[in-house]
Amino acid sequence: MGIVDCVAEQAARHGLERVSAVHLRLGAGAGVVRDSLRFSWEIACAGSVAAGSRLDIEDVPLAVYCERCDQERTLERFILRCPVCQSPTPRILRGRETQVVALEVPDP
Amino acid sequence: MTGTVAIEQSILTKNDELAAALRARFRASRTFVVNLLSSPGSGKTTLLEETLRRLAPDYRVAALVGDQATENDAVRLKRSGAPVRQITTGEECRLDADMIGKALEGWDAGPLDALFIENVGNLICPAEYDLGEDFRAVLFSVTEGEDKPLKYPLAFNTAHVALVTKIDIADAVGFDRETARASIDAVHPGADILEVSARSGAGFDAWIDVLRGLIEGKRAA
Repeated sequence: MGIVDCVAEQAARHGLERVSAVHLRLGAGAGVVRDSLRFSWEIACAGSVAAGSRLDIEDVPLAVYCERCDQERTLERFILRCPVCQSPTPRILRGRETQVVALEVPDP
Repeated sequence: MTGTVAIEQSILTKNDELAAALRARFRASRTFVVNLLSSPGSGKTTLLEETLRRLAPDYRVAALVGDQATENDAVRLKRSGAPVRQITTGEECRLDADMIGKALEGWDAGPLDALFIENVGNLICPAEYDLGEDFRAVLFSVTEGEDKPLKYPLAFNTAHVALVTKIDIADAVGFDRETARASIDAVHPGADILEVSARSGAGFDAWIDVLRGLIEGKRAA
């Protein structure tokens, strides 16, 4: 899993031997299914620096720019239409990211 | 060290860097690269086999094909006469830029005008992974349900063209063309959509013409 690889790499870079929690920023429009991720987290982390870690997900809603309204709009679903004026909103501003934002280190 | 360490690292950074290197390499060789995405069973291999067959007389074409297991698709595609290499991904549900780089090593396909990459049949993970391609095509067949783009929006959002495949059996399966097009447009406003059948040949000339234009464009670039 790419997330665990990323955590392992970053832990090594920062000289961390153990990671007790992983803070993830996850866009609503990223191709990641939250339930599946939570379900598989323990298994995916087994044997890695993050074994037994807690997963903390910060959700980022899908945000687009509506040209007609000249406004940023937040979408409930991945349907690229302005919820106010219904015009197409192809430009995605946020909500596609999958980022590891922080790692927690256990108390010694 | 205790406490919290701030990172701010996208999990795709490494892949994106490798994809950028591949893109530079394909630019230097003027090879036009297509990434084909779809669910299992949408007809990627059949479409690709016919595409290779039609382009081979005029262009140097080759294919990389990704599956979790078996070499079956590579065996099928080799019937086109084009060089084909299978990538078996094991537990991974998608191709990534590293796999493409490794597959190109030691593969004597010669100079290429176009390289087609058939991704693993899956519409979720492959959408996130840049393979250094110029052009991304997503396939969905008339038997899959007209709302499929709404279920897997990212694949359709990131594709340059959506190919509605098996169009020869559309009437037999009660395919609702307008609903399907509206679903694609909802997740990718203004998307290019082509209806094709590799079996009957319907719409195939238009698809081949698109590819010819893009291959020529890259050659001239």
